[in-house]
Order: sequence, then structure tokens, then C-alpha cells
Amino acid sequence: MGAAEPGVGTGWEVGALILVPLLPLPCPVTWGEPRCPSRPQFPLPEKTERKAFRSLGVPGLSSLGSHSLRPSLPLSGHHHSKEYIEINPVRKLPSLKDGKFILSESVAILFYLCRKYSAPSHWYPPDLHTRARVDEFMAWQHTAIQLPMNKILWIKLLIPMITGEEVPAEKTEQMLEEVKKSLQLFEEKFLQDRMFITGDQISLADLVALVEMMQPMASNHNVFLNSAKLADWRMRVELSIGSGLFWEAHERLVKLAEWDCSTLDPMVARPWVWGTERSGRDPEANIP
Amino acid sequence: MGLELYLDLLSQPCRAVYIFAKKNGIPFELRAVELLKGQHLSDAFAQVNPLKKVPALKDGDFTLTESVAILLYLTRKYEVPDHWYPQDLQARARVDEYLAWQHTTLRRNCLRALWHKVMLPVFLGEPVSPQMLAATLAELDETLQLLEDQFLQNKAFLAGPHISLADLVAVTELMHPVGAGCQIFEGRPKLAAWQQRVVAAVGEELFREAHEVILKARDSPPADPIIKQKLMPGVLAMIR
Repeated sequence: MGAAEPGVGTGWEVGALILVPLLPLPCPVTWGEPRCPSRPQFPLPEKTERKAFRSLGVPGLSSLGSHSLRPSLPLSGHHHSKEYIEINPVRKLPSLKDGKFILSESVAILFYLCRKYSAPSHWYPPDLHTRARVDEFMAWQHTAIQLPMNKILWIKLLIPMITGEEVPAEKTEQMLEEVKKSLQLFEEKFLQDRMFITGDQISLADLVALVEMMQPMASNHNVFLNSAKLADWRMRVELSIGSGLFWEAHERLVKLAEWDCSTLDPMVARPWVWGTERSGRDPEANIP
Repeated sequence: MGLELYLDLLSQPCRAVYIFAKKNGIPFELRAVELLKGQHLSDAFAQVNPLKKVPALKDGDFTLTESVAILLYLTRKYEVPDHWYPQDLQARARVDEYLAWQHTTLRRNCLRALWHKVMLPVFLGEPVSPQMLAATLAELDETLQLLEDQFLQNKAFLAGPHISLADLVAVTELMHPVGAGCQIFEGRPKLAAWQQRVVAAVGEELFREAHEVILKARDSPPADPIIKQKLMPGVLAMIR
């Protein structure tokens, strides 16, 4: 994988393969490990990527140790600094850097890793129809699962934490209805009566589905409570990954409520908290 | 029964699938599903796609939704030229990266531009405030800048020197605001040049044929009250 190369800017360490923790926020953020003593090191959840690497048996990563994964401070606004942008012009999490090749978007990163490291085929089955099912889920989940799950997190935890005010009950209800429908569709269409989305073995689809459904846990909202089927599937996925790795990846997420939000950069929160101002939306209008 | 594609060319993802299948000479039966008549909400169509959306593919007993998945399925099954979804690891990753990014960004903003500017007021008789419209168009503008700066950069096409699925998906999205009368290529010579390259690679006639419907969106006759009632919840959810 090559030797470490120095990055630009002060105090940067760049490994040969840099991965970034999956953030609980869909906002574009930065990555890296600045040596800024004045800024607190906000611990972030490392989920999909770390799990993917261990599970996919990506060689050499465990020996790279913590240098391979860069916890970052996405909520503290470092993504505006020049140093960050030079290393990762996309300014997004998660990001992958393999030599000079930089890649964003977790779905793309997972496919890349599967191919490059010839991961066991159950992760992305070669059968035409089965693979199509994984692709279908990976496409659908952006708007049907990821977005609503993050909404729960913002509405139930982050917005009240940042603004000191609860979100109107009506909005919360509407959002929870949306989530309910999505999870119903997930069960009826993607899971059905199978052990995993593609059948008897875990695939990338289950991995992505589960980490997204875990997001609301940080706001004490457990989407698995209402459905035994979903809860059973969740356990199967956890066991398939390995409970140790699973909970290691979620350690920081579940501690999110302890975060000191005074370090938050308003740019990150803006679309969620001040959406109405920015978009000029009249909250009373019936057009969302 | 051979390959069936359930499409309405009013829809951006349907256009991408249509062009791709035609361009690559993939034989299929076109099953028209008229969105403005609410046909996607029918029980008959729910048998094909319980998610009640187009595009949908039916290949014997196998049904598939999500345009990205459909495009990848067709790519693999019909062994189309490599440039559409390159074997090269990094080139392929670039295509995957765009196809993942676009769902919540360009797709969303192009859809909102069309509905806020044209379809809500003209077809559904629901006025949209100037502030709302301005905000939507500003968001679209931001996304177009990202498309240029992060994806296109100085390349001929989004993922490299040749046209790929990424360009097809992107260009069909952009025709949504064009159909709404937005001058999105004005002041964007780089994007305009890219669009012309994509159209040339696809074939002008095929491109025109695929976009006949969207380019007439502004002439949509108003929906009758029953249809409007049927369509409203889905529309609002779609453009949220």
C-alpha cells in the first residue's frame, strides 16, 4: 500500500490509505486530524468503513492501526480551512485516499474496496439478479432510509441541543410517519422472508441499511422496537459482522448526546436548523 | 415475454433508461405509464412495482426498480461498450461516485425546479411563492456549480475522457429545469460544452426524441380536480 506521505498544512499525517469515519450528518464536512490544541477533539462515529474493512478482510489495514483511520471534527468547521480542501477537495465524509486517488460517497467506496481487495462474493454477489437487488437497495436508500434516519437524529437530538428548543410536534409526527413507511417498505420489498436482503448471507446492502437505521440511536430512538422481524434481522447482521466490531463502530454514535455543541460550526447546522430562513419558506404554507 | 420497460418520459430517470436501451440496441417492450393521469397509482401497476414509481423493469419474472440499478442491470446483461461503466477500477469508482451523489442533490433540485416553476402552478393550480421559487432556483444553481467544480472539472465527461452512465443520468436530469424554462447553461460555457458533447455521443435524434415530452411540460393542461387530489400527496412527498 506504500509508505506514508506528508500532507500539506501544519501537523498533518497522511497514511497510504486514509479513511474517514462516517458522520451522523449528511452535510458536506471535512476530514483529517489537525493538531490544533485549542480545538477539542470531538470523537466521531466510525462505522461503515471500519466495519467494511475488517469484514472484507482488507489486507494490511489492521497493521496500519489508527493511522489508517482519521477521526475528524466535522462539526467544528475545519472544513473551511485551505489545508483541508487541498487534501480533500470534496470536503466530505467518508472519504478514501489511495495514493493520489480520492473518492467520496460511501456506496462508491464500498464497491471500490470490494473490487480492489476481492472481498468474499457474498458482499456483492456476482449473480445478475442478486447483484441488481443490492444495486436497487443502494440507490433507494439515499432518500428512503438515510435521509429520514438523519432527520430523526436532528429533530430529536441535535436541533433541541443546538437551539434549546424542541421541534414542533407536528413536524416530528410527520417525520416519524415517513420513517415508519420507509421501514415498512424495507421489510416488504427488500427483506421479505429472507435472512438477509439477498438471501442467506450478509451483503453490502445489509451493512448500509443497518448503519443508517442505527443513526437515531444517538437520540435514544430505537427503530427496531416496533418490529420483531426488523429486530431479528438487525441481530443477524450484527452477529454476521461480529458484535465486537459492530459496537466498536457505534461507540461514538451512542455517546453523541454527551457532545459539547458549543463547538458547532453554524455552516454545518444551517440546512437543518435554519432551513426556513435560508429557503425563504413560509412555515405556514402547505407547500413544503 | 421479453424485456419490458415501464416508462414515462416526463420522468428524468426514465429518460436515462430509455436512451441507454435504445442507444445500445437493447430490445424491449415499452410499457407507457402516464404519471399525469395517475397511472402509476393503479393496482395494475402496483403488481409491477409496489413502490408505485417509474422506471420499472420486468424481465420474465424478475422485476427491478431504481434507474441506477436498471442501468447497471442492462449494462451487465447486454454487455454494452466498456465506456458506459468502465472495467478500470478508478474510472468505475468515479461513475459510482456520481451515481451515488446525484440522488439527493442534482436529482432533487432539478425535480423541485420543474415542479415549483411549472408543474405546481400550471398543472396542479397550486401557486408557489416567488421566495420559494427563488430559493429553489438558488439551490439548483449551487448544485450546478458543484457538478462543474467537483465532477466535470476539466474533463471531457464526468468520469473521464468518455461518456458513461454518469453523463447520461446527469444530462437527463438537467433537461428538467430546461423544460421548465430555466436558462441553466447561460453563463456556464463549460457545462454547455459538456452537454453538447453528451448529446453528440448519444445521438441528436435519440436525445430529441427522449426529451419531446419534457420540453412540452409548460403546455400541460390543468389537471382535473379528481386527478389533482389523487396526485397531490405523492407530489408533495416527492419534492420535499
